[in-house]
Amino acid sequence: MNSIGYLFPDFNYFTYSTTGLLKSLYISALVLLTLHSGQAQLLISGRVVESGTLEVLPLANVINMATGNGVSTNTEGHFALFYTPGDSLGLKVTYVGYQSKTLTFGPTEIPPSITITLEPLSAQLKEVVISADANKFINSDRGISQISLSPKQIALLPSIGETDIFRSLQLLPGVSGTNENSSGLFIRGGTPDQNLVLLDGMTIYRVDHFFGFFSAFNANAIKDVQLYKGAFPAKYGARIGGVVDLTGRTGSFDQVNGSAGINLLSANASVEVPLSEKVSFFFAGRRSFTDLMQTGVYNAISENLYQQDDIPGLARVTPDFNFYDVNSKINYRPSDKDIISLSYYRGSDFLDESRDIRNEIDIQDSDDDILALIDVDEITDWGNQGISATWSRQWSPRYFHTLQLATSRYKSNYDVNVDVDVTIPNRDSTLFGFDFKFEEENIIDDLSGRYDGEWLAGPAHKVAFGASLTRSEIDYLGVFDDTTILLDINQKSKLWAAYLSDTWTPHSKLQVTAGARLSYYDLTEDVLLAPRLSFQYALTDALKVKAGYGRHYQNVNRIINENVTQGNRDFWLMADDALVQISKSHQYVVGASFNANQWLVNVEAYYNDISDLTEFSQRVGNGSDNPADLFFNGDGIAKGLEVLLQKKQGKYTGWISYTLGRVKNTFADFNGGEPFPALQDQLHEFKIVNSYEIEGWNFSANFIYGSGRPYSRPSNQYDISLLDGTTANFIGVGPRNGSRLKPYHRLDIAAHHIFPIGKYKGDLGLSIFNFYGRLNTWYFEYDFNQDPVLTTEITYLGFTPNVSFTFTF
Amino acid sequence: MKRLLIICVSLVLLSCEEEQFGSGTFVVEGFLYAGSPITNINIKSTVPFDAASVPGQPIANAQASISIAGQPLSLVFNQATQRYDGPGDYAIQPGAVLTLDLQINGQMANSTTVIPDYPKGLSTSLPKIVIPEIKLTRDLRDVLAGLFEEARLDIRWSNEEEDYHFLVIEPADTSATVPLFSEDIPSNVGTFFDNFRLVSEPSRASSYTVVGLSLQNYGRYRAILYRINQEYADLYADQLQDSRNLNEPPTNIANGLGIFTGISSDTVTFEISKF
Repeated sequence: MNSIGYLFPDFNYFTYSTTGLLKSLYISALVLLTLHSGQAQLLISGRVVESGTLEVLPLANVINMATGNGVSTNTEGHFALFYTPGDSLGLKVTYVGYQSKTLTFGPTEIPPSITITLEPLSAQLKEVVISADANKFINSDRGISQISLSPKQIALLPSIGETDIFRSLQLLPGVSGTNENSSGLFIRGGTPDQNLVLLDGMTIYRVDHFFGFFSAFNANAIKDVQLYKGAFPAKYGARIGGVVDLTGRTGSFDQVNGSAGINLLSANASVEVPLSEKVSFFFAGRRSFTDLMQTGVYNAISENLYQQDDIPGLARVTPDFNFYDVNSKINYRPSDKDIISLSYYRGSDFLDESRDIRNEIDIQDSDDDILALIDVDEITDWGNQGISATWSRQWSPRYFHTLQLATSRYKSNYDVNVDVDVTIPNRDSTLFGFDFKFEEENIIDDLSGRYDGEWLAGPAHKVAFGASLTRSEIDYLGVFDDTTILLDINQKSKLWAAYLSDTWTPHSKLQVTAGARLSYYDLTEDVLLAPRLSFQYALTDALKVKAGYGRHYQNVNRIINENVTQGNRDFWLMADDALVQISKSHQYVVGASFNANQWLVNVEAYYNDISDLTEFSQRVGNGSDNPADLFFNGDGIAKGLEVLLQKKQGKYTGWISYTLGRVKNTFADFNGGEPFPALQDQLHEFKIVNSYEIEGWNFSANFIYGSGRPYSRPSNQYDISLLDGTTANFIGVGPRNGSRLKPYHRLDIAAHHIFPIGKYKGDLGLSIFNFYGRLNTWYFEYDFNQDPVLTTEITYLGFTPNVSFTFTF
Repeated sequence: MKRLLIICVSLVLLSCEEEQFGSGTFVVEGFLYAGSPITNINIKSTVPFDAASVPGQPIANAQASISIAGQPLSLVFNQATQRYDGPGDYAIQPGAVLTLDLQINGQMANSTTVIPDYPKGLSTSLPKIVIPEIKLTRDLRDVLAGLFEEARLDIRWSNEEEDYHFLVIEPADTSATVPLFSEDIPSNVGTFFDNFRLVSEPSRASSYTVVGLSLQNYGRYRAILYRINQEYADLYADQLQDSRNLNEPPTNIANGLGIFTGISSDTVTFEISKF
């Protein structure tokens, strides 16, 4: 048995099928390691921080230019790197969105510890020629299926109205960019709820603001974004899709900074204040003013969302809507080795769709008309909030730990109250009245504690380990008229987890990361072993191949509660072996990347084998009031190929991404048990992101093309005579999701002028979403009351311009 | 490596898949009434989705039979009614389990249903509802308000097990022809009160309140209470659908469409009277 087999005795299938390759790599690496071990190695450690604010930069790359060996900084910006004494030492430091830096030390000048400052690219008012090692928007050459995104830079990209981290992530290969009404990420054929979204350790369950048009995260408040599209490290668990790990800004320890901005939907502001040399404070807030003033952008979005509600004779709903979010963080550095931080996040959406429906019955030759008033009070609000407290300590250059306590709360409420009142107004008389009420509430409370350690065991080994306990409670209640309960579920669970992984770098050309995550989920009493493995091998200085595997489990699922006429409302439930099963996936990834001068080409193929997916349907359940009849379980296969061609250097930067993908699900109760395309299935997706920077101006344009998504199309119709002499019309349906919408495409453009205002900076932007006004199909709606059946095409947002201004001090 | 090779090959092949589209099939309308012979089983074709709705064409060449306790009874196509009938001398009893077997142009289909027990305890709270002649007067408001609240009766039945029932109210004879609202009252007033007529949907309740004003005419009415099965109630599930999640129509016919269900019923009468 090879080393991986020793580590994971249950991992026989993979070790068997890859034994030859791994064995040869292992032997080669062992020889190389032996050769290297004959030389003494010294350690240089330090920290990478932002110039000016001294804010630490996590996951920056620090590379020994002589050997090619490199390390990433940890969450507090620390790094430690082995080098061979006697020679001069050259270090190259890169971080996405920042100018790269090269440092050279003579043989006798190498310090044991160093602080390296990097200059953010967006601080430049003048033209900047980005160096070959810098990445303006993204860095996709980190590891297998891992991409870093610069929140500072994405403001330059086109948007609907808000600078948006998740919308920017949708421009990457393997992440769908054609879901306009969801900020959630459809990664490699998965659904948004299959992704773990963390903000400073807090789990965020819903990432949508504003009907899904924007994500719930203020880009001004985020310092670092790491996206793992699959086969993610053992540190992460509880999801079967991808991971988005967001690190909030800590604020400056050195100077007061801030910004204020406004666009046609919202206003935002941020401030960072050094309370002392050891304490920094950061606050960012954002609020839409859509409830106070409705701009053209808001009206365009609103009309797009309510286009399917046009009912002859009745006024369209005019929603009262607003959202806000706040991020705040206090950092305390009691010593050079310790950082204690307290992070707070709250995001909330409020939607009031209340309206009055008035129906007058004119009685001829009489003034005593009958008036029917229907008063509909309909309120939806949802949001996340959380607090995390973190203590990080760099015990020594080799050992770093993080101890974290985090709480997270997600709530989603829907209340509708219909009051019908029939009167004769002229006589001030009420004929009769009645009311109807429905309430739906879903709350998730998480409390988690976790310990993460990193130990640099030697020049070739970096060990990561940790443990966590998450206590969760989910409440769901759906009730009619305060008495009739549709569904009332209360679930409590504890999830214990521990992980261990080793990143083994026997040679600068080879890096292998092997690890495992062991969990115990008390609600189903399952012990879950999740092995993880990845490697990279550099064939040349520019070309490397890589592969990864991960076993993943998910114990909490988002359930889509279909409501065709009023929009879907989703809620979360835990796996309980009764209604919802623990979802599982095997993720396989292989790829190669070529990184030379100003170009990066990255190709990855993936295969995800998913089991125990859960779907909820009140319609398939045919009105049954037994909850077990409303939940359906099945399996899925997602496979595809991603290609990224990125130009990193020069005035012009950008990338081309292409994804070839296929997602099929198999549910015993759907489609006669035969496999069918998932709704997110899309064979081709092609995206181009362009950015051109010159003399304080930045021009950008994104083009997205996606082949048609699947939908179910009626194939025939028939009627059945009922007992009261009427007839009911029905439609027969072809294969589930057996037809395709027309291809999706759009072009977004933006221009930003960055200019000095005294010693401060202004950014005036114009962004046009869907520049040529393509009416992309959202879905088809069928009106079975018409003869023949009326099919209406519901389209996505058309041409939508927006302007923005940001003042930075 | 073998698995990696499979992945690569499947990636090449996946772009070659063809889309599938649905095809038409046949529809069964089979209502089996307790105490009655098997009759009027309708087997017909579907019509294209985008065509104006025309009745499906009867299918006369089906090989159809119904089995009761393992004994098959052949169904015969009746040219006059264009439907299938069973033996005329066989009355279906409550509790019987019936299985339908069909073969149409080589396509097999089947379905099973149970004949429910008769409804129990059907009665009315009053023998009649009194509604004096309604004329267009200044006190119409008070008259209507008063009648709306007062001119009612309850239809009740026993339903401790909360089974599905379906209530139909219809004129009992041809006497119900005199309208409640006199001709000088605009017709839309009567139309307005029509909204409070029986909502014809399956219910698990054990009573229904008849609003006198919701009925059109004076005269005698018949309330037919059907005891029904789940498959009939399923026909009333929400049919509003869109392409994001279009579901198969409700049916209990394996490899076909429509319904094959047992029904039992009881009847009670009441009167709408001027006095």
